[in-house]
Amino acid sequence: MSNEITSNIIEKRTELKNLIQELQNKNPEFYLEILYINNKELQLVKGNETIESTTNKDEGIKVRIFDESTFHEIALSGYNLKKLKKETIGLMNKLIRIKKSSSIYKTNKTNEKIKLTIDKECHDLHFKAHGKINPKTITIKEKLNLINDLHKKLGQPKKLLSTKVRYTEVNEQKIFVNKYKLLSQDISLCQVSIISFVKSIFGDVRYSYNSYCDHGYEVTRITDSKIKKIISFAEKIKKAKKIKPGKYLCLLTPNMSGLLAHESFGHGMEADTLFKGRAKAINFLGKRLAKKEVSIADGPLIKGKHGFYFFDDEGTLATKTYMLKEGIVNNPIGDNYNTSRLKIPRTSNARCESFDHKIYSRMTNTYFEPGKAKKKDMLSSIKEGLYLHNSGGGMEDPKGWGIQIQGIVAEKIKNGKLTGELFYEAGLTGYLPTVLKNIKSVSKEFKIPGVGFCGKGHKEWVRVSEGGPYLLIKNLHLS
Amino acid sequence: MDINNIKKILNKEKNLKKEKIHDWKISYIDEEKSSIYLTKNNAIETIIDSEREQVEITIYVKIGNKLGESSFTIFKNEETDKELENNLKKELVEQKKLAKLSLNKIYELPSKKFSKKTRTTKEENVVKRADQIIITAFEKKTIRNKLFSLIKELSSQAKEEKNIKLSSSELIITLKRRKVLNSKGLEQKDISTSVYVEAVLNSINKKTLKEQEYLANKKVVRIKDLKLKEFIKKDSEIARDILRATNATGSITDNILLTGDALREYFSPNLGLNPLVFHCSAKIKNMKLSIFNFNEKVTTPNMTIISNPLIPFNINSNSFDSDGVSSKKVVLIDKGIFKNYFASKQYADYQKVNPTGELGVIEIGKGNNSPKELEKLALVEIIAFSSFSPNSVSGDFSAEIRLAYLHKKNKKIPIRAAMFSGNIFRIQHHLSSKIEEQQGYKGPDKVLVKGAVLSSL
Repeated sequence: MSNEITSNIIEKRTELKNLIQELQNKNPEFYLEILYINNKELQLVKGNETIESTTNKDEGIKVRIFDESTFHEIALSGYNLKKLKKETIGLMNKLIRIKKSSSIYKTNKTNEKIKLTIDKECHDLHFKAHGKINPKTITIKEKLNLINDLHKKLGQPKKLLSTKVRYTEVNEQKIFVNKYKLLSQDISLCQVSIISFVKSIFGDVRYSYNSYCDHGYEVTRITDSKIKKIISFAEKIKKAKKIKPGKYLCLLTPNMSGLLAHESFGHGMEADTLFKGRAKAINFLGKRLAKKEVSIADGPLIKGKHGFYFFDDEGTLATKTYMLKEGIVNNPIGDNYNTSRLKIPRTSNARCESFDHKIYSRMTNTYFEPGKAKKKDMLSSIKEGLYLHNSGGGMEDPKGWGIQIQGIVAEKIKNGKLTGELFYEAGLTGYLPTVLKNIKSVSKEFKIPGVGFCGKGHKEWVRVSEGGPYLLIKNLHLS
Repeated sequence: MDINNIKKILNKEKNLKKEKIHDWKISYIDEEKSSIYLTKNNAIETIIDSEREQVEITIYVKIGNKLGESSFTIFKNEETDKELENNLKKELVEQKKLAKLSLNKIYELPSKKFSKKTRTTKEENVVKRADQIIITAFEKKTIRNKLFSLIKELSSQAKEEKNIKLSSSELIITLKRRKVLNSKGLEQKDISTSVYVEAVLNSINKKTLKEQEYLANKKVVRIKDLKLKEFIKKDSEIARDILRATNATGSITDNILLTGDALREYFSPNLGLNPLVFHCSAKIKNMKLSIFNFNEKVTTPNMTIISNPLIPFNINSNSFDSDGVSSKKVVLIDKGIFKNYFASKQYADYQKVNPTGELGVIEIGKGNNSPKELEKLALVEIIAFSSFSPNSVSGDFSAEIRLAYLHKKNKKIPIRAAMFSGNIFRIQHHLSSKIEEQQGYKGPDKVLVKGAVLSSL
């Protein structure tokens, strides 16, 4: 799957390969890997009164040395191989000295040796993902005109208090190298996000958020009818009331079902969380949690989605993992250390926020798989219930399997039809196994619309997406 | 990285006859970090030593009565000075194009006077935010030793706690050097340190084998402020009470007491997590989103909210903002009345107010009620949230509690599984007369809220 490589990457690949060979030959007792990250981001933001443009860059290298018990890392910004080599050799010598001594700085007090799962199949691959319209072929003037235009169209009907239109263009280059692999990738992602602010009839300011992502500039083709829908939805929020707490029959959009998969289930299947004894799922591996129709998967190789990549930060080639397969708790997702310690298959979910951050077990694109029902039939079957449009976000509870999703915009359903009566800032809570058991049907209509960032608690942010089919769930607790 | 060389290049750009830049700003960061990550059974999963040295350059171009600006980041590589200069010039060509197309209402960059001592002679220009012990350890390359000794102390403190197991922990020590300079002659620099600790404490009932966990974390400036023994003791207590806690039933409206971590999260110094502070931002006002107007009532008359960046060794104190404007103590809300915006130079010029520098520690004026009085009035006391993330724009919030205590007949009964919801702008706050300082917060040690609901899940 080799693609055309820029000369800049070719040079670095060769240099890093030579470096790892030299370092590995010097100290064969250690396992070594190098990760180079070079991300460039262009951001153009148009608000009511201002326009902002920034070009962010994040560049650095991380060397990881595994001494049979601990990963020792050195991370330096930029691309400074001489300094990196010097520091790595210094650290390796120090580790050898400590190993031979009874130093208090020994990391392996019990002398238990941890065997990592190393893929010894040799690969020398370069991957590229650039979309139909390469954003580099579009001038800055055109890009600024785009957001100005969008902003104008949103403001023209004078129905919104304020709008913020953001265009983001990311070019992500990564090189991974160890004894067996030399992998590189060059990915582009373009994103348009729109925040529409309105003043409610109750006096407070509210907002609705829409976001679109793809590899190429084609993502910016936001039609006039889409804009009308955005304005009309924001207008409805003006009159949205607070929901009466209670249990409801709910139809979740792909946005919402994705959030459920991500927050309430996905986090609890991260291998590092499981290994630390922090996830209830450890007691449910191989056990039924939902009916056969229900499956939840995660995978980076979904084109155009915000969690896209070809290999993870430990060089594992992208694969799809079923975390819940036909209702049965299946495979956790994880990094090398934690999957090795749990003695489970390694997946392509080792990710770090940046070169100077730790690698954790992280999700990518997470979703419920589609079913067989039709959305229109699911909707018309509801005499009284709620349509859950979207949400502001949620919080994980892997230990308790509690569900916490906030900032939900819901719409009343009556006699099988949407009524236009909206509720703002509802919160969804519950117990995951109960919610999964209460899934009545799963639609065949399927989307992965979510574009966002995921944190481990409140830090370590990585780009992700989520989605799925429409889900009809009974007895959902909203407040 | 040679900042003087970059300065020279930018000044040359300023003096060009054609395609010149009007002004420039350089923001330099040099950050060293050392971190350790423990997993199950105190096994050390990862140790990281990292260095990040980066420069953010902002250029400004003037066209008529509009100002365009554009920012970009550069990292030091192995190139020669000549190569760096050539790369920078190449980048500047593109950035000038971008700046010319990103025109806004004109404003002036802060001059030297905004970096001068704007406080009393007793106060220093650079706020104390650095631990000399950490600085020395990084200089002598003995920071790993500090990491090991702290993590060992953390593990042994947890071992001493009854029915508590340390699931995992993280410790990150950071040393950051910052410089901001611009073409108006402003030059600011400071040095700061931080120590972040995270410990997942598992409380276990040995009879029933039931477990509950509590994620405790703390971020301080100095190692001595970590106070690991107290930290583990207090949060182990919380972990044990979460295990003892029963699920909440019914709902309680009014007379909800906030203390400890819950109080710190409620009055967060983070703009996106504190509606009362969010609407005090001049930038938000400029976006026509702020509902606050000068000298109008915005909250209850007993509430005074100050942004105080000058408290020595508080993690949220700071010397200057991203433009290099020295940070000032600002009374945002005085006795319930909106008084001042906090503003960067750009938005201060637009809103015709004074620039204030960066947002600091959120200081709440003390109240009239003794802590005992508030305790007596409280029907329930919230100690910790799972996560408190209000909608800063509307003021709505809905947060699940991690632990609360029902106040019943002089007893405190631990409960969990309840939702605390309401709207911050409709809450009445009754404040304790006793002041405490936490990370990012200085104010009443207890706050009784009316107008919110705690309801069972």
